[in-house]
Amino acid sequence: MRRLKHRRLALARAALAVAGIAVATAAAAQGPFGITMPEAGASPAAGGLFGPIFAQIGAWQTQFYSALTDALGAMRENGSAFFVLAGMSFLYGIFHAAGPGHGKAVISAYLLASGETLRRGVLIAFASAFVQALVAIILVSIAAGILRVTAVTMNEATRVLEIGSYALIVVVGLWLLVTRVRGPGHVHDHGIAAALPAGGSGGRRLATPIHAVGPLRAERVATRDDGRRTAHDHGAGGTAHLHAPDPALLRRPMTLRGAWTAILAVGIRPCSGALIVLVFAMAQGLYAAGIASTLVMAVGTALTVSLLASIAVLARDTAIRLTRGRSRRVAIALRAIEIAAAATVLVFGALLLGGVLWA
Amino acid sequence: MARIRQGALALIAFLIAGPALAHPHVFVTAKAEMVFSGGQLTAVRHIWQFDEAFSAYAIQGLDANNDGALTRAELAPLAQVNVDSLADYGFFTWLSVDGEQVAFAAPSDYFLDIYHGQLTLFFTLPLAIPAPIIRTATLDVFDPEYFVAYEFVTDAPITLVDPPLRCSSLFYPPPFLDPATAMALAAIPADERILPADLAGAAADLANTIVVTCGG
Repeated sequence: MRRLKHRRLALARAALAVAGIAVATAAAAQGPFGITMPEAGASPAAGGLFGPIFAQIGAWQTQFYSALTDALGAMRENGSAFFVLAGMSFLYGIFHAAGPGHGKAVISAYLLASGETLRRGVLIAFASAFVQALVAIILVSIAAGILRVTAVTMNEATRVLEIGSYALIVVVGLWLLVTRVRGPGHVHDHGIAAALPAGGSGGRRLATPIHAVGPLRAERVATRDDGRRTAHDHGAGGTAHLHAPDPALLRRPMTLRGAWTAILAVGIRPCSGALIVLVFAMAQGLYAAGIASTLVMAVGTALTVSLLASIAVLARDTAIRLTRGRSRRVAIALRAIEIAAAATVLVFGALLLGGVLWA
Repeated sequence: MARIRQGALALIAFLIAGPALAHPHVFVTAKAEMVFSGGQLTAVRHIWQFDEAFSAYAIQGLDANNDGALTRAELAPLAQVNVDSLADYGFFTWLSVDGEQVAFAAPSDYFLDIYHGQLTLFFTLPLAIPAPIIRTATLDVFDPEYFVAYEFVTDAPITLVDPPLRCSSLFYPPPFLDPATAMALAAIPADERILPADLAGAAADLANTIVVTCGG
């Protein structure tokens, strides 16, 4: 009873948080000055126990951003200011990603829902950060460098990319939800035969080679699992015939296409900070330095997102390891986590999209 | 199992809600004027100077005649976009007179100009109904989402124009500017703060607060 209450509370909190973001997004479609938009999810201060810590992170971030733009300005006179610029860009990237924003939320929920490995999770985090940097560089190069548009026009372009980003989040969420709910077959008790193979699923999954991805890999895992089981032979049949609630199968990695959709969903909406720094650098005649700064920033951002995503993946893997031996209940719990995470991605995307379309 | 689910949900909620963090991309150096007429407060005037990077971003593509200089006329369309968009954000301006929240009419006398290479926005927010200040008025200027970081100038952050003789003003910068101060202030009960009750909470820590005292 108490647990149920806790779960309801957690659900209610998640729903409130999502609703809050949607409202904030709706009011912020064009940004406060009509030329640059805050990233969705940048909700007001929550205060509480961690308030002062977050205030400190915010203060550092502000200082690094100021130092970054100052360094760009200083490069006009002194080329060696580039190293200061690179350092500040890196630190700013790290602290910037520690701030709010839908990016890391979507990545983490995606990793929870899709059952990606830790290593692939880190790769996805890095890929999304670099896609985001490249989108900013390409947008500024074309819009400001070639077409010489105004900030209002560039904001419109950003808005289109933002709508595309949110639409892709909806697609990813929908797809995750459908595949999770449909799942790899029905759940019923197989007794000892369904117990996890020795070694535990978490350890085995982490050891899986990174290049083995996609449905092919799921098949391979399935085949190997069944091969190990003498008491319960399914042969090397397709997933349609598997009815063992094996967590390793429930958490089979998603396809490369799925990962790329998630990467693009997060990456195609450029960060306002990167756009401003790039245009500023171009105005100073230091566009190359601006590009370098944006890429270094992406490394910092990727590190933070990787860390947060790793926490999500490791927390789940640890939970599985701790409850090893109770495979059926683990399988059900995992399924619930994955479905909840998939639904979160979907609801999150829908609210963001609704907020930006009907603002 | 419930614990795993609960933990996962809490984690998701935490990641999505995002802590209080913010990432300002626009830095504004501000000063304000409170305008009186016939003993009543009639308007708030803002002067907001944008940082160099945002200025460069904002003025891209606007130098129509390519002479390297921007006139108020060339900047007029941008000024219009600025005030139109700011309306959705309540102009980041909150005013209460003797404890009552006061509404503003549409902005007037707005224009952009460039000083020392930095874009500067001037605009006036007339009060919907001019209000006499019996005891105190409180003006808060800040972005609760902290996309825009406001910092008031240290020299004369607030000017009272034609105020009644008994009125004086005090400026309280946001404690956020100094992390050490922020920590110290976080320990003080909220009711001891010089902030209107409706702005109580952590977000209000970002507020630049001007208190005008006219009596009582």
